Amino acid sequence: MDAGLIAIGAGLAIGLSALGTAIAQAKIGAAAIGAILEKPESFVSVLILLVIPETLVIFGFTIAILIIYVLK
Amino acid sequence: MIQRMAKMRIVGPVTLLDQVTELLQNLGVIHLEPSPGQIEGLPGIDRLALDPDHQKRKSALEKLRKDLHDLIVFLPDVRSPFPLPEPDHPSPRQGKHFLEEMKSAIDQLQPRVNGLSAQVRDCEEEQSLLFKYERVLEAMAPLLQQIQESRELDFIGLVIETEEEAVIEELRGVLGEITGNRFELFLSRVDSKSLAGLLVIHRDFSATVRESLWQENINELKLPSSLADRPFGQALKTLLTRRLELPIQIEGLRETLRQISFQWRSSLLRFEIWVENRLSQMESVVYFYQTRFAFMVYGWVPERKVFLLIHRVSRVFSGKIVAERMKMNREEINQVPVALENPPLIRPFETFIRSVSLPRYGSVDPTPFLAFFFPLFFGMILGDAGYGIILLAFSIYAGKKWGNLLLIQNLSAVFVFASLSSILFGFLYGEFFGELGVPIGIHPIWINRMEEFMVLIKISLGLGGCHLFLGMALGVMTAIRRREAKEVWVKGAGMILVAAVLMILAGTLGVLSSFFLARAGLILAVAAFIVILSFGGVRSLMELHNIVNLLSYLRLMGIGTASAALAFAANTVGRMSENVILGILAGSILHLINLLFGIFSPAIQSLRLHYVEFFGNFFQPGGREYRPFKKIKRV
Repeated sequence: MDAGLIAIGAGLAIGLSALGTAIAQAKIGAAAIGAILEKPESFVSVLILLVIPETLVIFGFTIAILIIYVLK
Repeated sequence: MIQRMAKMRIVGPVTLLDQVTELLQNLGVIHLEPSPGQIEGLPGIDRLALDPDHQKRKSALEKLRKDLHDLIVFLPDVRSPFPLPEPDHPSPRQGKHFLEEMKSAIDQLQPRVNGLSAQVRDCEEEQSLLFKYERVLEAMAPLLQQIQESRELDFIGLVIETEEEAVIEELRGVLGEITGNRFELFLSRVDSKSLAGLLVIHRDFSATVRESLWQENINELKLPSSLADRPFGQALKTLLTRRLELPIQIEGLRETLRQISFQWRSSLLRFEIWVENRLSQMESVVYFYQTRFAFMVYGWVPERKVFLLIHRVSRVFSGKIVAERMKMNREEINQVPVALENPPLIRPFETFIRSVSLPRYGSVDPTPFLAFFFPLFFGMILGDAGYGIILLAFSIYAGKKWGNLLLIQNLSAVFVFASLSSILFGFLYGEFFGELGVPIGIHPIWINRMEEFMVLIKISLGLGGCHLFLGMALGVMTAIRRREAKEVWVKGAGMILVAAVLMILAGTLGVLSSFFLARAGLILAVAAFIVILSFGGVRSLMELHNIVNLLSYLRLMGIGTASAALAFAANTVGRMSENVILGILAGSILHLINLLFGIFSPAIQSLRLHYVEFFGNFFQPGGREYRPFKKIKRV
């Protein structure tokens, strides 16, 4: 397959998943600040909730690697 | 691990109540149970109430505690050159003598210390007031030497903004007109923004001149209200004198307080501890029940301390008080307090467990597993010997510098393990600040993270599978311990399901190049799915989350590769510069940023893999902390 198309596919995989993570983290982050202000002891739970959407970008990254390595 | 607990009951005559509470407090092993189910509502048994004599003594001690606190708070913390002895615990007879002695000392000290503290406070308030006039007074001090006090003269202090300096000439004109040129205006610069002025006029013109100043919008210097009735010159001189006197006066008062503190503070602190412990004994009776002549109390004791409690109670009271082990009901299991007991090397990792919640009694303490997997995951992700060495040095330094704070002490110990793991993986990956180790012979021993992505994916999934498998096995074990048969089936089938998915992945990705492996995995997965549905119903489909959770372990590869790529990028940027120093500087800054990410990101990601993926299979939060009734050593 054309190297350019492979690169675009890999870029889209990681770029779009990063965008999804960013949108989710922005919303969780805003709510997290409010939660921590009201209940400081919730810091650890909130931190964990905040990093949950990072799974999306990890998947995107893995898919990008697979696209490059499998289709190369 | 979670210490095994025994339920205890202590019964005896009400007349020995004081001695019993004192002994229990001295032993410090029993967690008093506020609501033992068996006893509530039984006829003839009520909550123990303090008699009037106890009530009176308790009120007296509470007043004493307040007086002591109010006294100690004013005494500066002067360290004695000799170490403080352990707080002594006088016997009831000695205690009475000790109490009278300390009461009389407090009665003598209180008015003296309160008086000195009030004087310090007044002087400090005066000083802060004078601070407002500080610059103006400094500017006016030379002007005061030029004037002579007279009853016929009036002195007016002025503050003129530098921006409005032009108004001075205008003012001189106005003053000349009002007074017939019989005035003196001395000026001195306060700072770049203002001038201080001292206007001397005949008293007859005071009212007119003040009105003109107001019309010209010139600020008159207002002196403190305490000096407002004095002539201006005299008031200024008083302020200047006080400005010099106050620091000496405050220091003198503080020195007196320091001397009192040196003589008394440690004794008062010891006495405060004694009072707290006495009060704690009296307050503990809220956990006691009584009949007409006897009392009883229930509590939880670590199994290995049961003999100590029974033996000491029997020996001290010669059989008049009975301490006995009770049978624990199944319903009570969630009521049992939890005490974690781990070897010293593992104990710092308890911080991560406590920050979420203590596990319930009868479930599994995940600390030993976290102590093994956290550094392993951290090292796998950071995986750079250079970063690991810096982190190790910082962890040791932080532990020594701020080790008196328990949290810092624990975190520094955790990060020592994490950084050692990072150094080890750094050598396995051949990374020392990226590829900077190549010239000194550091090459990948195991894998090259920048090239062998597919191998890393397989390792991450494999390790994740093992981690999840362990979590599920612990879940099965907890279900067996708690005798929840359905849960055992559902969790067991969940384990098989994950194993099946791993087999399918291994067959498909070619880890073990077998077509049959993938098919066998598929059959096992369907079988496990049916078992889960049959025993757990639709709700148990949540067990399928482990398949998605398995993929979550890909972050071990993803974040790790990103960290390695950033280190390589830092070196590339450094090399791009033609200026060597600039190149080193740019590279170092990028490495520093990567290191900061490298501390937080692997730590958070490793914790997340534990809290979300691992704990989800077995961890039962909501344990009550074991808090034995014991003497405090510091307030």
